[in-house]
Amino acid sequence: MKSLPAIDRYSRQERFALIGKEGQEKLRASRVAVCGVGALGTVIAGTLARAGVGYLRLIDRDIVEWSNLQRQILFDEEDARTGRPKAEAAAKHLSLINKDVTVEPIATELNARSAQDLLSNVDLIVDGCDNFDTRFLINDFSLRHRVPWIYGGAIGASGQSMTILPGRTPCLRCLIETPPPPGSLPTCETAGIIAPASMIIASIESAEAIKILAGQSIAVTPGLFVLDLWNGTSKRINLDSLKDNPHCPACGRGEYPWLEGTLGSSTTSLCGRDAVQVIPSRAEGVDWERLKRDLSIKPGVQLTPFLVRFEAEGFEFSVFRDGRAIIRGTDDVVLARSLYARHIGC
Amino acid sequence: MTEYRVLLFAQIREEAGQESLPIALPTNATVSDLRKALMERLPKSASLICQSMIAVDEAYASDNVCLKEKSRIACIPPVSGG
Repeated sequence: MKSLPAIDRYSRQERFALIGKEGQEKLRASRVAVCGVGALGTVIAGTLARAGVGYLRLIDRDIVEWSNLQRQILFDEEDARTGRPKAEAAAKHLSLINKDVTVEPIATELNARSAQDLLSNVDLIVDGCDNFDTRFLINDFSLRHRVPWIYGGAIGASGQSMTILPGRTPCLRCLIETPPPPGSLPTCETAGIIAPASMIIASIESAEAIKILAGQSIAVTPGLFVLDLWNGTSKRINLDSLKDNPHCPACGRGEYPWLEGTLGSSTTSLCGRDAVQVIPSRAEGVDWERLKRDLSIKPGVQLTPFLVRFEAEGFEFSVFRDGRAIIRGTDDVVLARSLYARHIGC
Repeated sequence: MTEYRVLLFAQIREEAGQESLPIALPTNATVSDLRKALMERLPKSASLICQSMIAVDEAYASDNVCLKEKSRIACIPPVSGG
């Protein structure tokens, strides 16, 4: 049977008067980086792909695990079984949803070294990540290069979101001058999360994204949106008193230490996960083919196009193309570095 | 003394086991005084309260802002998960 043409694919969105055909064309011509493709990022990427945003860059350092499936809507059991990198798994599912969208999956860490490459050449950055170091890095990049970004966070039954338009709204550092130290804030792993909390926050981020991309930045909702789903309250906190703050280190004084790499960490314990991520210190990266060959002799090794996984000394190693490894079975960063040196060696 | 009802959010609310807390403070107390009093009342959440935003009448309030008798106050911790 001949399939029906997809000509009215965006008709309902175009019929919404504030977008119209003109707004839809702007969405098609837009380029977005989604940083973190987990509970927030999968909903954001799915929504923007369905909305017809022309190009999505999906950045995530992690692999799909069983505990993700409860809320991370672009993944399935096969992804968890094979430990597929989240960026790749999300791209695969998005290609089935809307083939007209160009999706570029990038399974690596966003840090000071990679930010210039990974965040350049987009109209908007949308936050789906799970830590403040990365958000402060995005904030630095956004202000220096005048690219808008949208902050979102969710935990338990709560969440918050804020849109940052450089030069027009307060930035994240106006609100939080220094990021809470690693381990000081509850995480989804330690405090849990219900899917509707992350889905609502991601939907609010997506709505803000659609406004900006459709040329309606004027409609961006100002302030900090705060949600508590368990007692059914939401608030919008007015941040006008933080506008044009000359004392803000980022938007007032133009200091960008996360982007310059003087602040922020590169080797991290994945909080509450009983796992540590180790990044090779050599800036030029690793020889993947050689690494794969060397590691393929390990007993019980699994090889996929994206990673090599093996067990040694009772720990599970997942090694990625960029030489990065997630070592499961410990949260001790020093031990993880020495395990990396012993079993991966670069 | 003035009694304020402080709305709690996210982990602070969960750790307190209630949506709001009554806090009594001397007249002309500031946001900073309120933060200290909250930390004493909820010692388990002290570090989170220290990093939290205090909103007065649904607007961001810095530590030196003076509270008024009928101020509606909320304690909102940063949310990192995603």
